[in-house]
Amino acid sequence: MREHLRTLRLAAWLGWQLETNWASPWLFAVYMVIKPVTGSLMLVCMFYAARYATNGRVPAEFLPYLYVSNACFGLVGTVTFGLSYAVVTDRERYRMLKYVYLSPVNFQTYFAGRGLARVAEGVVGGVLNIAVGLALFADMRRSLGGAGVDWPWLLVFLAVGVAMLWAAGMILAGACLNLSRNGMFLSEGISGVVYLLSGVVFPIAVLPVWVQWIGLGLPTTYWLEGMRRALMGPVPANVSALHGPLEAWTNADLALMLLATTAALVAFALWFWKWNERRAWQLGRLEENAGV
Amino acid sequence: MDTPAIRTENLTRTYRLPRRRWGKAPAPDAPREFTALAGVTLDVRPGELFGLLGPNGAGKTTLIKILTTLLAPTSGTAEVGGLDVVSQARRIRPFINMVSGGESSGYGILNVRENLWLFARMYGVPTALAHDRIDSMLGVVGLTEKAGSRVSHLSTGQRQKMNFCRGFITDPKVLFLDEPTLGLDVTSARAIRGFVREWMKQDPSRTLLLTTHYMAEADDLCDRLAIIDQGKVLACDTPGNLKKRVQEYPIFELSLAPGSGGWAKLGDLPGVHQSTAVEKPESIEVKVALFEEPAIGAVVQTLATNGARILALKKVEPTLEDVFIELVGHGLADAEETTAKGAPADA
Ligand SMILES: Nc1ncnc2c1ncn2[C@@H]1O[C@H](COP(=O)(O)OP(=O)(O)OP(=O)(O)O)[C@@H](O)[C@H]1O
Ligand SMILES: [Mg+2]
Repeated sequence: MREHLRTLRLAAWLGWQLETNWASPWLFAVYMVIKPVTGSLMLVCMFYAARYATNGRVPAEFLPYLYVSNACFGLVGTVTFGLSYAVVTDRERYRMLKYVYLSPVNFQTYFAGRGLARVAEGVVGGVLNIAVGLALFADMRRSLGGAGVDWPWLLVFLAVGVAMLWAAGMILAGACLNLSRNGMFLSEGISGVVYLLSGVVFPIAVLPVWVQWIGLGLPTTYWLEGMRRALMGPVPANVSALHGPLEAWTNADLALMLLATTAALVAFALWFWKWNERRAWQLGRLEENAGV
Repeated sequence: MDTPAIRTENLTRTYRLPRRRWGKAPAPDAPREFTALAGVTLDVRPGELFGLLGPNGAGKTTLIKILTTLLAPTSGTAEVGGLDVVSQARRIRPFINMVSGGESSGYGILNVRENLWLFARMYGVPTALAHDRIDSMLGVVGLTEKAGSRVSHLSTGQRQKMNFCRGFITDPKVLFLDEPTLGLDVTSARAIRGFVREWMKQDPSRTLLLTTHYMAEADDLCDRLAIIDQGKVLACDTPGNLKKRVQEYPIFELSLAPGSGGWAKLGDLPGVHQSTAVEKPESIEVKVALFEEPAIGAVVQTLATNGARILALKKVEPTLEDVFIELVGHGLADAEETTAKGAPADA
């Protein structure tokens, strides 16, 4: 156990160094703040365009909805993509993957640590993103200030969410062990699909019913719903446009469902990673340089 | 008897070869598999500095990968410290380490000290001890003033030296060095060889497996050597014994002043197996093969009593290169030199 904690700490330290110790602080600032914020602002512009085009029929609550979910979703990309990236760069750029593998550290714990660094980065990015939103838009201040942040639930959703994101990341990173550098595109692609299906910028109620069912199978759907509620309270009853299939669920229902789907995901991730690790060991991929 | 530090029995490894790529017709006669190791049986004792010699593609790195738990064997067994590399890999890892030369690995954004510290900590070395070891290792390879430099700012050789340090700071019981001096300058390579020798002396329970393409390095360092080619062990013995194989008789070369006598009769002396001579304008070059080394005394005496003037006398040792050429059929150096030594160039 002590060894695992040490590995976790070392890997998180390494991950954080690799992420933040950029050659230029300006580039880092662009990466951490400007990129996510411009992403959010694009959504904001679309919101105002839609509002203008429909003569204000798009409810004001839509703005904080999509802004907050988008900011939270940043964490999904950072963690899942970050883990795949860690596998690929450790192997092909730094050429250290084999040395990590043959060291006594637990390979999975090592990547859990690398994931933690990404979680920290994602949380910082998300907070900054929301802070910018609060500073710029009155609608945001009204929603987030109104009900107040529900800290206990926020912690619950954040904690379970982090486990869920790590598991998702490990599944993709595990595939990367055997997929060479191209595996990273897999993460990006899947991240895009999840963005579409888990109700980030619109309630999943607008999707065809069968697609909604896929969305409801994704833990991210419950996680985002939970995060939104913890930050802004439930969607007001009169804003029917934002109502989805999870409307009647209580926070506890959501948390339980998230926990259950996360547990399944973690179990699968643990197994899938081991399977890939063994396969990479058999095929000699742990130190192979694809050279592509 | 001691548990062998490294033991392999009939170890094989085949690589599956991709038969086709997208958009390309599969070659009909393309082989499905490539055998990198074809039944390797080796025994390395604790305390031994064991060398692997072999041409490119012989399977040396493959063998090291299997022993360091990086690669699965296809069949046969491999043990390190009495533990099986397949089923007990986790228990092997704390006491082994590996360095492979000729590659520039390292986290570019960290400095040299941070890179080494990170790995020392991964092996559970306490920070203070880690820094002590890092300092002394950096001193060994002459990288002390680069301790605070980013790895991305190091030259290729400096990165390799850092990597070399990484192998030692975890104080492994069994260490694998895959061409550790590849691409290093002469002085650095010598310092590293000196250190390796010293390190082995410090603790007789340490074991080191080394691959190299430098015959002199192998000869100089290794207690025993295995020569492998095409995945098979061709010979395994001490450098001295290996050299004896290619030459049963000690050979001496003598340079005599022009006009010297007595050399024609050398072949009749009891201790001399064979004698050849070439007369040149400035000297007479004599080569004698002896049944036993002490017979050189009789040779010198005969020449002296016949009024010969000896300009130079030297024993010509067979080198590992001769062994290598004999066993592998071609040298590691270029073909021209190989032909000059009389081995078939196209083998
Ligand atoms: N992943 C792989 N797929 C297919 N063949 C491989 C793979 N890795 C190695 N080989 C082949 O296995 C053989 C042995 O390779 P290995 O790296 O062990 O040689 P080596 O003795 O270390 O050579 P060198 O002296 O050049 O380092 C080579 O012919 C190589 O082409
Ligand atoms: Mg090699």
